[in-house]
Amino acid sequence: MSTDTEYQYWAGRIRDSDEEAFSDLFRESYEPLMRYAYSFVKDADVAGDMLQEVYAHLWDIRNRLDERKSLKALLYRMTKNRCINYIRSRKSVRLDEVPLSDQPRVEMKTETDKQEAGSQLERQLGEWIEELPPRQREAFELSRFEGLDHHEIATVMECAPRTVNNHIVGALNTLRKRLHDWETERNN
Amino acid sequence: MNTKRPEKDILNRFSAAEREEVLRLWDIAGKIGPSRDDLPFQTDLDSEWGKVQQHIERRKREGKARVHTMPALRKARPRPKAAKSFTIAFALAALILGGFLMWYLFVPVTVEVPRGEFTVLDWDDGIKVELNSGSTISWNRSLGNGHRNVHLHGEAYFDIPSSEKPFVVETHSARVEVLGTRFNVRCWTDDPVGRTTLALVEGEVRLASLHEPRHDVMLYPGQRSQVDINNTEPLEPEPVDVQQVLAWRERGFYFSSIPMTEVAAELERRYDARIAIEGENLRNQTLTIYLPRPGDLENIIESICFVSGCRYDADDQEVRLY
Repeated sequence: MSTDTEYQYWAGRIRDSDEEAFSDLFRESYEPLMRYAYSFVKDADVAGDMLQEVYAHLWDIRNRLDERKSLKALLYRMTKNRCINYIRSRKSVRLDEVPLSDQPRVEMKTETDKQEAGSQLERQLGEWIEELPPRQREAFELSRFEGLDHHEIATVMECAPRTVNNHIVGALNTLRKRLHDWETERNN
Repeated sequence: MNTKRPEKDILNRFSAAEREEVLRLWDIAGKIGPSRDDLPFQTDLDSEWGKVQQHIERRKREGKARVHTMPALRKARPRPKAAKSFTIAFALAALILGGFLMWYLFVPVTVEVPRGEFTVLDWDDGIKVELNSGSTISWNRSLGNGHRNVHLHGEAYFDIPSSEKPFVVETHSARVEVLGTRFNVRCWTDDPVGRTTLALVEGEVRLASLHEPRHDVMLYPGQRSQVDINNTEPLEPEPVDVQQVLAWRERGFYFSSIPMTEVAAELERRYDARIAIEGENLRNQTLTIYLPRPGDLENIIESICFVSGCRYDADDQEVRLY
């Protein structure tokens, strides 16, 4: 059973208050969602709190779940909305409140073996992805890293699947161009 | 997840040679993905699941408590009280319904087109409105003629089937009244004089300044006219190439003696990009160019530089013209 059909199967069971299915869903989805939440809030504890809220809320609204609608997309959207609300509510807090040394940083694994040309390209690509326009980057990452299909991404980003397509094509075009430039530069 | 290829409708947008590069990029990106699996901290699945379980248990207790107390309450309460609470509930429901009705009738409906996107509105009575990127249109559901009386910021193409009832477009500077026609209205809020430009494709249109509705001009197909917030009456209609005016509907561009700043604003809206123009001379320069099939932003910038003799550089944040 592919994970997507698994998710939809769980959706039906959870609607019927099946705690075991809920536990299975939790174990399958927690880490990817943790990464996703962390990418917004950049704080492990906060990301954990966000996810607690997401799963608690999902349980509370379980009788409204619909197997025909992607549960995975719903989870991502709930996570995204909570994280964004959190960030908005924090905006008024002064940034210098948190000492720099306490702020977590994401280290790219590829930075450790930067000698190799291959991993150097990976590192470059990581940077280029970060520099994409925000909507393009979001669509591309949800597709490539989170493995969501275009309809699911459309739900998360609250736009039309066609627009998701355009964002991803746009992202790929930018990345292709950067790859070209990078390789021409290396060959000179 | 890492073996997954891009979806077909993505790949179909690229030529065979490009497709190879796309697949390669997709592949390398997949190798970055796993490195993201390593969170810079540990998560304890069991303890996190424990917290979720506590929540479930709490809900169960609340649920049981509710079931338990309800029959007791019903017995203890004398009938009149129940009736009273029913009245209150009814009054509340009526209030909410009334509030909703007021809201439904009097709060205007607004459609905002995000940058980089287009929207088409289609009503049952055959009225069709196509909106350019970054435009906003609003109307009242009940007041006046409902959606036959709209307010526009931005650019839109209207297709209004013949009808006894007039259709009215209001902008910050103009009022357009029609019976049945097809026309284009352009009125960006960032225009310094709040200009509204109207071009007519079919039928007849009356254009008036918003503040002096009596001084109107009549337009015929293939003509255009303008009015801005300082005018009391619109300019004398002049001939225009309608196909060029409507280039945006096919995702193209048409600029006729348009200041560079305005060109940049249009491109920013369409491509959701940032464009900076350096130097007073270049900013004041006007541009005339018709790009029916423009391609991507860089293509257009290249054409613009070719025509106006300027240069550009671009990073992912913005395009700089100088």
